Formats: sequence, structure tokens, C-alpha cells
Amino acid sequence: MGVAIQSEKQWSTWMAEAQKGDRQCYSLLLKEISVVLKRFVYSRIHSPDLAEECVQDILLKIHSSRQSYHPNRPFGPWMFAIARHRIVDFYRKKGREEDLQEQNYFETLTDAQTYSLEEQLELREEVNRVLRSLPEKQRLAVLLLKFEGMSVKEVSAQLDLSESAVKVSAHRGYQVLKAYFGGESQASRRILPTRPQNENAWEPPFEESHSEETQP
Amino acid sequence: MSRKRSPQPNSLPTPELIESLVQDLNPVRPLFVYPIRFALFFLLVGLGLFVWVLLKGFRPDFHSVLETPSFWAEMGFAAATAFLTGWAAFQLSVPGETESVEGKKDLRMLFPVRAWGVVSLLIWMGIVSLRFQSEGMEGGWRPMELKCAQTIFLFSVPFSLALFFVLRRAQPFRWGWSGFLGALSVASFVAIALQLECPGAAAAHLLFFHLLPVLGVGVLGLLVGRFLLRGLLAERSSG
Repeated sequence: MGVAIQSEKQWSTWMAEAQKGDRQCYSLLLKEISVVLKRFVYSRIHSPDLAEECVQDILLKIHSSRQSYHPNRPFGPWMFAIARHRIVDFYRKKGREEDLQEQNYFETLTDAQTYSLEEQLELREEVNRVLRSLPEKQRLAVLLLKFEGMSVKEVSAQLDLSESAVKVSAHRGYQVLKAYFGGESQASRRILPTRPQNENAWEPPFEESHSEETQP
Repeated sequence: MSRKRSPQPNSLPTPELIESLVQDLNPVRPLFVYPIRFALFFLLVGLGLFVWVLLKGFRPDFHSVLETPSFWAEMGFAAATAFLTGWAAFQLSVPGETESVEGKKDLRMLFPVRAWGVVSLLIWMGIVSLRFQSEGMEGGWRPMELKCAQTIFLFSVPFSLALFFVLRRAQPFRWGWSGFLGALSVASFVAIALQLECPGAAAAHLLFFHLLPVLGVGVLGLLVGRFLLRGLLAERSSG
């Protein structure tokens, strides 16, 4: 506790000097707080790449907001407030990006202009096959949301699930579909292999998902 | 502050990013603590409004109305609303001012100033609404009285924009709350000044042409503040 207070006082002093333009103090401050911020962020974001990106985002924010820190005030609450809000913002931004990727992916997959009639029929059959292999909740969520065009609220009422459960189920289903059809998501590639050359050899590893899903 | 474009994340590892931030460092003048900025801003707004009242002249019944308890009650809660919401807007605009280390809550979180500001507004509205219930629409629904609402909007919008400019310097994160409280505070100050000038004392007049516009400005502040404070914030963080 004493050490924490001491380092916080040190940070305040360094920041006050940095506001005057002292680069050495600023360098010491950023190096030290980046370690603390890493611990803070890694406990909230479990992917190391994303956590690193978020830490850098926080450091940039601290840099651009440094005039708002008052040297007489404690440094910790100021820094952690910025960190917390950046993490929330980071999740929001990442969520939007993923939604957009999913939207684009399904638009391409279901776009009649992109494929010939035979290709469309073949694709439909393949999609159906993968969908059939999904757990029931995931399959229904994907079918109703993406192929029937229903809203999350409507699907949640239809399946008697909460809206967030619908989103989670659909998201898991998308990951599997993306992995099978060679989607771009890094996360999906990490979870599942892309479609193999020999189709018979491919078996979607659903065991994990099955164990998580409980039938209503 | 540096006008140079700050380094972008992801393009380089963290130690290199730190190095480039250090190279990008320019001296900055720390902002005054928020109570001082609050006092300075509202001193200027108060002074401007007082000069306006002096130029327009006090209401003809000014001396007699000073003897009415309802006038003092309404003015008192209007002033409390203006003060508390303004204070809360400035407090919220500074990162970490309403929070403790690592998100642990303290007493300030349990009884936040912004909650007291909203309570004060509700009491102010309650007092006028009670009077309106007994008085009814008597003497309060003339088209010419729209001028009062216009005056509130006319003064509140530029003052609120100026306030947003002051608030965004401190990097607020709660854009909606900051916008709502700031605009509400400015509008309440304008309503106080207006009540010194406007001869309309009927509850209906005060409710529809003073209080509702104040609330309207607050809601406008919430919408515009979310957009303006967030937009400007994003621009600053990326550039």
C-alpha cells in the first residue's frame, strides 16, 4: 500500500514535470505506467494482441489529455478513469467492427449477383449442411437472423431466450460458418480450421459448444 | 498542445510508441481545478445576464414580488439547480474526479452532485406545478409570452456551446451527462435572470414559458453534448 502511494506520488511529480516539457520524466512515467496499465488491461481483455492495442490506445489518450491532469490531484484515479473508459470504448469499437465484418460476409455469401445458379444451389446445400451440424440454438439464431431477416428482439421472443443469449448463439454460429467457408476473422481461424480439401475429413469440432449449450 | 499528429497505435511496438510520444512532448499548461473553472465561467455568464437585466430593466413589481415566499422558493431552487448541475458538469468533465483508484466507490459516488442537481430541478418544477394546480391556466397562455421561451433559448444555446468548449478541454467521458447538466445549468441561470425582468408571475406562464424551455435546453444539451463532446474528443484523440 505504502509502495503504491509512493509510486503514485512519483507519477504525479513526473507528470507535473512532463507538463513543463521534461522528456526524461515523461519517458520514466510512460514506461512505468505502461507496466501497470498492461496488468490492468490484461485482466479485462484476454487476447494479448487486443490488450496490447488497448494499452497503446490508453497511452495515446493520456498523452493527448495531459493538460487535464492537475498536479495537486492524485494521478491514479485520473489515469485509471481514462483507462477504464478507453477499454469500454475499445470494446464498443471492436464490437462494431465485428458486426460490420459479419454483415459484409453474409451479404457476400447470400448475394445472388456473386454466384451462378448452380453455385448458389451448391452453396445453399453446403450452408445447410454446416447449419445442420450446429447446436440447435446456434442454428436457429443464425437462420432466423440472417436468412429470415428477423430482428434480435423477434428471435429472442420466438426462441424464448434473452436478447444477449441470441446474440451470443448467433455469433458462435457465424464463427463456425466463417471458419468453414474461409472467413476473414482471425478469431474464427484460431477457433476452427478452415475448410479442408477433403470434405469428408472435416468434422466441425462442436464438442465444446455442445457442452456450453444447455437445451431449454 | 501539440498540433502535430500523434503516433498511431498498432503501427509500432509499445516501447517505440512510448519513445515517439516522448519525442512528441510539448509543454502544456495544466487546467485550473474544476471549482475555479466553474466559478470563472459562471461569473462571466452571471455578469452578462445581470448586464442584460439592467439594460432591459427590472420587472415593474420587483419590490412587491420580493415579499412573496413562492418567488423566493422558486428562485432558491432555480439557483440551486443552476449551481449544482453546473458544478456536476465541471466535475464530470475531469477524468477520475468522481471515482477512486481502481474503480472503488466512495461517498461521492453514493451521493453525486448531479443527483442533487436533478432533485433540485424536480423540486423547482414541483413548486411551480403545485401552484399551477391551484391557479390553473389563469393569465398564462398568451402568444406574446413565447418571447420568454425564445429568450431562454437565445441565451442558453450560445452560452451552452461556450460551456461545451470549456468542458471538452478537460476531456470528459460522460458526454451525455456533461451535456445535459451543463446546458441545464446555463438555462437555469438564464431563467433566474429572466424572472428578474419578466413581469409574468402566473404559474402557467412560469411552467410553460420558463421551466419547460429550461428542460428543453437540458435535453438539447444531452443530445448535442453527446455528439459534440464525443466527436471533438475522437478528433483530439486521433490527431
